[in-house]
Amino acid sequence: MKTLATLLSLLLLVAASAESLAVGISIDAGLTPPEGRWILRTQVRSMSRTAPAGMGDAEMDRLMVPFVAVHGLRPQLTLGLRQIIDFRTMTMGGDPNETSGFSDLYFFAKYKVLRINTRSYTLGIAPLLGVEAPTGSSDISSDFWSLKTGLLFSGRAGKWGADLNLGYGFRGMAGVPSDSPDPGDEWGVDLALARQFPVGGSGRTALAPVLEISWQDKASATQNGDDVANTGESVFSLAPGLKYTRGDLILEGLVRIPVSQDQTGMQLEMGNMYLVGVRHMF
Amino acid sequence: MKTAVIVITCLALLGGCSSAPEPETAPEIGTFITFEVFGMDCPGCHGGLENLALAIPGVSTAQASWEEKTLVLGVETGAKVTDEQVQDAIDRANFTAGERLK
Repeated sequence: MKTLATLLSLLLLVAASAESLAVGISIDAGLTPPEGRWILRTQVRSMSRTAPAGMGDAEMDRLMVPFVAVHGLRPQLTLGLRQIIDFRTMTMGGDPNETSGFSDLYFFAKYKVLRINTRSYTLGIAPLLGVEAPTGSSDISSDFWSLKTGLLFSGRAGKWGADLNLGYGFRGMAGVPSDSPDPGDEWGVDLALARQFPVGGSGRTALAPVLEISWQDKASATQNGDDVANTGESVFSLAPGLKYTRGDLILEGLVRIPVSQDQTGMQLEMGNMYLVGVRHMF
Repeated sequence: MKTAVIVITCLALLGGCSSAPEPETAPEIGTFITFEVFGMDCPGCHGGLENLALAIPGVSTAQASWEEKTLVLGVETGAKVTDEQVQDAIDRANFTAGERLK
């Protein structure tokens, strides 16, 4: 863990020593970056979960700080690595219980299968394959490996842009202890819409209002073929945000608001998520 | 640890706003080449294309514009840069070269 922390610190120092792409803020694009391009990214995400009315006063607050490094190895192939530092505070009537540490390490690859650039529009399609490894802190990290798959679509027309992600996560592909339930798989559909507004006359600065629309579904965990109580949920959310691009630097922020959610059994309900982040490309 | 992470993140945010150092010497530019480029959708697209263009021997300046859909290259006096070299750089940036305008 110490080595990992050192590596992350170095990554941040590299990001800090220089200045700092596309539509979505928390939604990936189907447009792969140029060959040789590095993108370093960090965010602060604050979110909470609270007990629904009539179920006591339990609450969980989370502060997540993901660090992401992405590299355009080839024009077709993009590789990435993500590590999240997770702070959790659980309150159930008495004193809050605080835990923190590294969550699962996530490796992913994105491959360009289609890219059409014309004078009036751009289209891109890229499948994504990722692996979540249970390398984090014991209180935070999963006990198992998960496989993530996705199909990313992007379209640009003039200063308008849209990114659509279809994702499926095979959770617990390996490493699930024999006496533990199998975690449920998850899938999601995410759409990001944005419009770029140039700022000033330099052509190097733009401001983009962004709206992200997400549907996320997590199946219940199962044990011996039966669903485990109080697991599994589906959430539909809207996330208005703003992205400021200046050269190779992008500053971004959004608020994700759950519009509709359904938890199986007795579970904490998802509250708003607040996100601020920075990306630097070089 | 929470405080340390937040401080480091803030430093990264602040550090990210600093600008890159200017080059020490600028070689004499003999000609400028301008290409149409399709596929850039925001100012963040400039850097990757400019980096690849600057790697072409003889190119000393590169300026992309997502609004104008152009890439303007400054070519050192006496150097020869072919259209194919520029088109290859644009392809490797995942953009598409249009006409050579100048």
